[in-house]
This record gives sequence, structure tokens and C-alpha cells, in this order.
Amino acid sequence: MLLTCPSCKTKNFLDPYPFWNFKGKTKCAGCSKIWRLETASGACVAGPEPADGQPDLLPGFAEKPDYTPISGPGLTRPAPRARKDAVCRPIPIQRNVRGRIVSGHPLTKGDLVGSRPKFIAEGM
Amino acid sequence: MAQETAGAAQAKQPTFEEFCHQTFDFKKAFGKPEALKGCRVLSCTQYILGPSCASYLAELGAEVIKIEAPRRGEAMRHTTPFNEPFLYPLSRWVPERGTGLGFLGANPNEYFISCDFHRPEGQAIVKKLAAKSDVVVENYRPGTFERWGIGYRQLSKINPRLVYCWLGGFGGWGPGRVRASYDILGQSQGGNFGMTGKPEFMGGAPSKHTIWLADYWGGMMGAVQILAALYWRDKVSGEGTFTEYSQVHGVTRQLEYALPLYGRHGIVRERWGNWDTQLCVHGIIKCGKSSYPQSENPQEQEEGYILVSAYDDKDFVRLCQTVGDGKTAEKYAKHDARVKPQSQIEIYDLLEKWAADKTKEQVAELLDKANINNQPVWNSKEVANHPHWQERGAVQWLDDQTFGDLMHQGPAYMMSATPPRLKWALKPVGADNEYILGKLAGLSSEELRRLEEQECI
Repeated sequence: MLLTCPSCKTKNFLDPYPFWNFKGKTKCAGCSKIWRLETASGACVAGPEPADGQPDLLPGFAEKPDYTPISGPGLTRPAPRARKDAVCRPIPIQRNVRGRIVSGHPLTKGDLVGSRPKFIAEGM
Repeated sequence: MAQETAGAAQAKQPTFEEFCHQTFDFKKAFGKPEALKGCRVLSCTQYILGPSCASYLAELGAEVIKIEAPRRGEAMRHTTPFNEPFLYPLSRWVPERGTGLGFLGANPNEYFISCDFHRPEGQAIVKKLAAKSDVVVENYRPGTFERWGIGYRQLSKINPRLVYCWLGGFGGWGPGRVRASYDILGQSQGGNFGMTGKPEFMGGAPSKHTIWLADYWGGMMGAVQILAALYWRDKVSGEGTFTEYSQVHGVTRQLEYALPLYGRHGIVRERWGNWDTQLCVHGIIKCGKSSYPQSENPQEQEEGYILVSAYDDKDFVRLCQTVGDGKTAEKYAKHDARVKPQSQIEIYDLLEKWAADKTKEQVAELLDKANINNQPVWNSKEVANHPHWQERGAVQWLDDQTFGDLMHQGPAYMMSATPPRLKWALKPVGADNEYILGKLAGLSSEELRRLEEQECI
């Protein structure tokens, strides 16, 4: 479920579980504007209309029109904490549990050969 | 002399274990043919139910083409355990994001292309691919593909031999159809959760399965439908089939005797936690000590659990001897006496008190000595490192061409002549756009570039 902010065009991803049948206010993670909306069975049936006050529920995740991710306290809902060491954000790794090279950290377009990481396609 | 020759031949005959090992060795799979080679499948699927269906065919050698939304791909790529473990890149356009590990296991061996179903150009691509395919699998809400002009009725006009497998939540008709289903919803409505979990006096409530059982089972049911429809097409009628699978009905099929029990006696099957309503002792008990007390992971610091099965009268006597309680053995000598709810509460309480100063491994050692069936409840680390799984290929280290060294489940079954196999775990979104759309949809590099710029692929 997606709320594209009418103001700043940020894509706010609404977690289907709490937003499935929802009537209330949420906040754009990009521009912090408050929007009132109503959903029924996962589809938006009213809104989004501009509103004031505090949001009832935050989006689960958001990204700017250029795909830059947005998340954090006050912007998006925190993920549930089950493990003591859970950090709820990507953990960059370069080697797996047995010490072999893996593609476990963010890449740039220059790091790729076609769709594959260069260090795996061509070796380190 | 003849006897000696016969004896030598007898000596050379491999044992059944050796025969099975040689016949089913998963490392030899790539030297053997594939059962479904030449069968082309379009997988217009998302989450687990639909993707797992197509992936079962891909393990058997079908050319499965997975079609996803441009750039971001399907939703399952973004559904990970706490958003932590990612495989980078998500796609060549978004290399700084990754695919979540939840996507693994439901999409091996497939070709990945991207296409926007909403746009006429995207729909035209699907039609071109469907004209050259044997199977289409999709799991969108009822009628969605038809609204987009790429449902069964439209595609079967282009390709009458098409097997179209639609997997949905509640079926294509009936008053409860217009909803989206998840595994957890399907299992709730289908009746599974009503009988899993602990009864109230154990402090429990209905319990969901942590694994996506209804999805993976549903995908397998879909694959069975497809194989039957292909047999019907190729051996009998020459024509395609439209199949429907309802996730909720599929769950109801798993309810064993619960529905006949209700229909015949009006009895609602109860939850009975980690014990068994039919057999005693036949359940999981808590051991008092953790096997990993030094671990930083709170789940590993927890006390261990072990399955104990000693419902036979003789086994139960040996169990009581191991526990050192002759009175209970006498009191509950007969199974009819043991299986009553109040007896079970007393017996399991006794066992847990006995196990309170032991780890699950210590309990297992004592029960093994007494020849009593048991199995410690293993976590994923214990399963991953067990030599039995590694040797049989149930757990494999896969040198993936895109993501490097990955631990992955192998195919869940063996075949002597045409073994299923694991080629690659997954690929980034749209990784095979040029290969597949050039080969099957006849798109030139200029057209592909234009569609890519317009985010249509």
C-alpha cells in the first residue's frame, strides 16, 4: 500500500497489517506533512487530505522520488524488537558465516557488471 | 567354483545404503537430464504462494520466467527478517538497495524480467511471452489479470494449449472472494490456528506457524495441478486448462480428522499444546538448562526442549525407570489411563521436573540408553551444521553467480534419472530483460532501451 505524498512526491509505504482498514492521520516521511486518509480492504477510499495535529500511525518505510530511502525515529514506524541484538536496519557484510565473499553491502552503479557485483563477476 | 563366483558377485553387490547414495548423490545431478526441460513457465507471482509453485517446476528443469514490477521488483524482496539481511544489488537501477532473505527459497533457477502489467505495452509483452509458453502462474486477486487483458480467457485465445494456474486466497467466486489473503490469514480462516497452540489452562492461546506453511504447501498443490494439466494436454486432449487454487481451502484440506469429528459427533477438536490427544507419552518437554548458556542470543540462552515418544506400555515402563519413578509406571501401566487429560498433566509435569537440571542433549543421552524414541528440538544453527543434511544436499552451500557464497535449502526430494537441482538462488530485478525479451518477445535493443527509460520494463 502506497501513499505518494501530493506535496513532495515521496513514496510512503504503508504496512498492510495496520493500514488494511484504517481511518485516521499519517505523516509523510519526506516533508512531515500530515495527511488524513481512509482505507478499506487495503484500498484507499477517502483522501489523502491535508490535516493538522499528530499522526495516528507512521508509514513503515519511505523513499524519495530518486529512490533514496528514508527511515528513522519520528519518520517511520520502528520494526518490532525480538532479538536483543536486532538493529532493524541493513547490516553491511562482505563475508558470510564461513568467511566467503558475498554481496552483502550497498553497491553503486559503478560496482556492477550488468546486474552483477563486479567483485563476484570478475573476482576481488 | 560356481558357488565361489556367486559368492564374489554377492560380495560386490552394494548395500541398500550404498545404492541409494550412488543413485541419489546430489553432486551428480548436473550430469543427468531434467524432467521438465523444454517446458516454459511464466511466473507473474508475488510473495510465496505463487513463486514457490513456479520454483518447484524450475527445480525440475522448466524454463521459468519471473515477471516483476520494474525497478523495485515484487513485494517479497522487501519483506525480510527485521529488514537486516540483504543481498545487493536489488537491481541494476537500484544497486544501493537489496533483496531480503525472505525471497530466497521461493525463486531458485528462474529468469528475472521486469514488466509493468498496468501499461498496454507491458500487457503486449505478456501476451507475446504467453504465446510461446506452456504454463502461466499468477497469484493476484480474482479477476485482476482479466481486467488487465491478460487473464485466462484472453491468453487462451492466443495460445489454446496454455495451462493457466491461478492461486488465490478464497477462490474466484463465492461471497468471501474479494479480499487479499496472506499465509497467516489463510491458516486462520482455514481452521489451522484453531487447533494449534496451547489450551487455556496451560496459559496458552491459538498459535500461528512461524513458517509460511500454507504458502509453500499451496505452491506445491499448484505444481501438482500444473503437472496433471500438462499430462491431460499432452497425452489426452491437446488443450490447455484453467486451474484455481484457494489458499483457504488448501488449509482446510490439512485439518485431518477435525472436520469428520465435528460432522459425526459435533465435537470441536481442541488445542493440546505440545502434547498429543491420542497418545501419551508423545510430546515435547522442557529441559531446565540451556545448551548455549554463554550465547549472546536470548533465544539460545533459553532452556532446551526435547520430543519424547514412549506411548507403548513397555516403553513407558522404561521411561519411568529412567526417571526413577516406579509408582507412576504402576499407576499408569495402561495407555487408556495415561491418555486422559488429567493423567497427561501429571506425567508431563513429572518428566519436566526430572529434566529440570539437564540440557536437551543430556536428556537425549539418557533416553537413548533406555532405547526410548526422542529428538531434541533443533534450531536453525543446529540443522545447518548437521552432517546428515549436508551430506544429502538438504542444506547446500551454493556458489551463486550473483550473490556469492549462500547457504540454501536443496530440493526436498530425490529422483534417480531426472534429479531436481539448484542452479542459482535468485537474480536482481530485470537481470534477464535483454536475454528473454530479445529471445521471446522480439524486442530490439532500441526498443528495450526506450521501454527501460519509460520504466515499462
